[in-house]
Amino acid sequence: MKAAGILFADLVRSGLLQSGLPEMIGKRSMASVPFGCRYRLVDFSLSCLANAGIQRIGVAASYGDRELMEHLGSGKDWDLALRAGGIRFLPPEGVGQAPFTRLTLLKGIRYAVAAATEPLIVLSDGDMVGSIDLTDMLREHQRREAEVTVAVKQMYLPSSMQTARSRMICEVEEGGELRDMHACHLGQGGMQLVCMHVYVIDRRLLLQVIDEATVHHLSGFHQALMLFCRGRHRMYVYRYDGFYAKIGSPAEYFAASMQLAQDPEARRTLLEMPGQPIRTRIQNSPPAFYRQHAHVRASLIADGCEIEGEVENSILFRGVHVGRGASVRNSILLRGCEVRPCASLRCVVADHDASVGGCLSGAEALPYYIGEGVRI
Amino acid sequence: MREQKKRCVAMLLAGGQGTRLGILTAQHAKPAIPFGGKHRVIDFPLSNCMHSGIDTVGVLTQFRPLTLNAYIGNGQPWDLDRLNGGVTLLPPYLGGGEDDWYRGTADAICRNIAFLDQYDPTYVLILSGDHVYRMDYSEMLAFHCARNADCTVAFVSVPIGEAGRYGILTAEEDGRVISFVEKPKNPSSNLASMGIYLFRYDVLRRLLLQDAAREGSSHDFGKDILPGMVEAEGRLYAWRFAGYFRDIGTPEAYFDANMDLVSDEPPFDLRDRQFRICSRTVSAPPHRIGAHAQVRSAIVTEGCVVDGYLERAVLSANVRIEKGAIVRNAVIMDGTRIMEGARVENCIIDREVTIEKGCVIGGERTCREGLTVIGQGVRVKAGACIRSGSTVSVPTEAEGREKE
Repeated sequence: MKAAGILFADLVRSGLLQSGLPEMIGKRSMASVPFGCRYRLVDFSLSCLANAGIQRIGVAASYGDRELMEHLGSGKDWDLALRAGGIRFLPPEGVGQAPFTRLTLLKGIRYAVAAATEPLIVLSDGDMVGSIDLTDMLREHQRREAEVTVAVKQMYLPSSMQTARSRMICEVEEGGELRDMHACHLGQGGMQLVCMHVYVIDRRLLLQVIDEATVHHLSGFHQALMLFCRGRHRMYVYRYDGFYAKIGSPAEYFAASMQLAQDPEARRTLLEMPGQPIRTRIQNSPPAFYRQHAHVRASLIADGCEIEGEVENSILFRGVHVGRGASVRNSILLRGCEVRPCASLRCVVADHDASVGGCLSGAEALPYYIGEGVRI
Repeated sequence: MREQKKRCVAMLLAGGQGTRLGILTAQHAKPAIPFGGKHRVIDFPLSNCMHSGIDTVGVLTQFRPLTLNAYIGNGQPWDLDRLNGGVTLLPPYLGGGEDDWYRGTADAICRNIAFLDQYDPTYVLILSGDHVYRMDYSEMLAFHCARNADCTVAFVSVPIGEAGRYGILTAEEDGRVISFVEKPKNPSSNLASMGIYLFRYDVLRRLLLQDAAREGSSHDFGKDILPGMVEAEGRLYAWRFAGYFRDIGTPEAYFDANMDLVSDEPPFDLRDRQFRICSRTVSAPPHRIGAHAQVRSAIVTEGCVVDGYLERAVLSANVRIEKGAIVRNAVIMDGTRIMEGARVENCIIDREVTIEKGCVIGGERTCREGLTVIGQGVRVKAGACIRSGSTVSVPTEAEGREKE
């Protein structure tokens, strides 16, 4: 059965989640936050949709996010520059201004859901980091004759962690039927099935959910699903086992990035799954160049980098230049950064085109952030 | 269908067999050989066209064209997916009067006069697909127009010892060519033709048709058309190109051009942002340098995982160098894997090769002949030793001990 895709591109800024990376999303939505050496967060959900052959994808974004629009372009880097379909921006209509929730965004783009001809809709957060085989998820959805399927990942939630409270936990029957879905309350740590905010849903049912939620003045999509569908419609979960991250704070951004750099299993399940390439915008950077005095260990390096100094446990995005005698450790340097000769960086996150000299150090729990284009 | 008139159309000769490259061209045409990590050799003329404002390119293919055809595709990486013009693949075809393979460079162009006529071009630029250089052809065109030339040949100075590999010309001070000899035994100068010819189309059309009718002609630009123009005192001019230029026609030349890229001050910089060399890229994850790695003077690209020792090396996409492996002075192409403890020195290793644990491949390269070449898909068994200067192309396994 054919499916169309809808991505929620800028939920964080619209206030659904606490503003996780306040500095990094000053100018961009969560979906366009750079991650994983050469990607932006939106690349993961978008590639999942494209890899499953979904050719009509709407990006629900409440305002013009310049970086996101530039990044997606015509969609050709995901093979989505199509006459019959492709990527479309869907501005929400008639629901006022931000803050938006998933549900208000859905109300605002009801026109697109109503106009679609596909019987199924795949909804995904634009900042979901994972490589879900949606072909398989859609197949399971149909095999079970489900009306809603929710992707879940079993993971350990520390009971004290503040961010654990923002996770949605799924309670499941043995056959995979979804019994309940609710926020994680304090003390409810341990292994849990966490909702990844990727749903396959019958298009007509989605329209009904949107309309029911509107007349009942509901505010959240989960709330609407649970109130309207539980016990009445066939809801299942789909288990995903690969690398998954939902970034909600600078420490989580840092930890997820480092895990991807150091853990071969994370790299394999996110980036190297056969038939599920993660695509991103192609920029024709030259390959990375290690000069004579380079000394690099345990790092992810993107094309276009030029390294003359020391780099360890770090992630260098495209076109980063590390000068001679400089030392970069446990740091994430975004596109076009320059580390001047003899500089020393520890636990630093430097945004696009920053230029750094001297000694700078943050901590893993609170990396030192350097803004776009800043010269230190 | 009549297309919109074009000022200049480029014809890229990409059908040559490249026999001098040996097993490196056993599977693919020469222009499809990887170069410098991310590129294929044909990226250079195509990117040059892109930056010179040429949006109509005919690519003449003949020898093992599958990889090349797939690589060029619709020309999108070079902005050649156009409504009017763009890239067109031109293999030899039946029914055009001459039912045969292309017999020479001039014959190849001559058989596609119908293609050129569609665009009614004022100028036609003839390029070849086996050179590494970055050139703005519009500068050459400006020279051509200023001299009111019928044909302009681009040339570089080469060491006199290598001159026998090229077409050698002598010219007057204003650039007028007074002699042109293809691959002379005793070169009279060191001014070598780059195989880049810019013609007025009406002149080219006439010359090609005359040449096609001439008995005993080898239908080659360097051997027939250009010497013929000199003889007839046509307006043949030479334009000096001052930039970096390498013909990669032999394994040694190919290797040296790659090594140029990883020298301390590279004579050729792939990093110029204003003049990007574009390529069709595979979508691979960023490369990872492991905890045991040492990497210096090297080019590494997407999909690679390096955990060994790497010095003066050029790696294409998805190469794996495992812990404890030593790679020095090597060009390693896509998808090759070098396993634990193997030692690779002064080598060109083609695509999808596996060098198993503890192998020793190549060694000191004291003379030009010391280069070792491992062909596509070869699997070298654990502990094997392949002496420097050998060429291994058995596509299954090389029992190294027999080679000793």
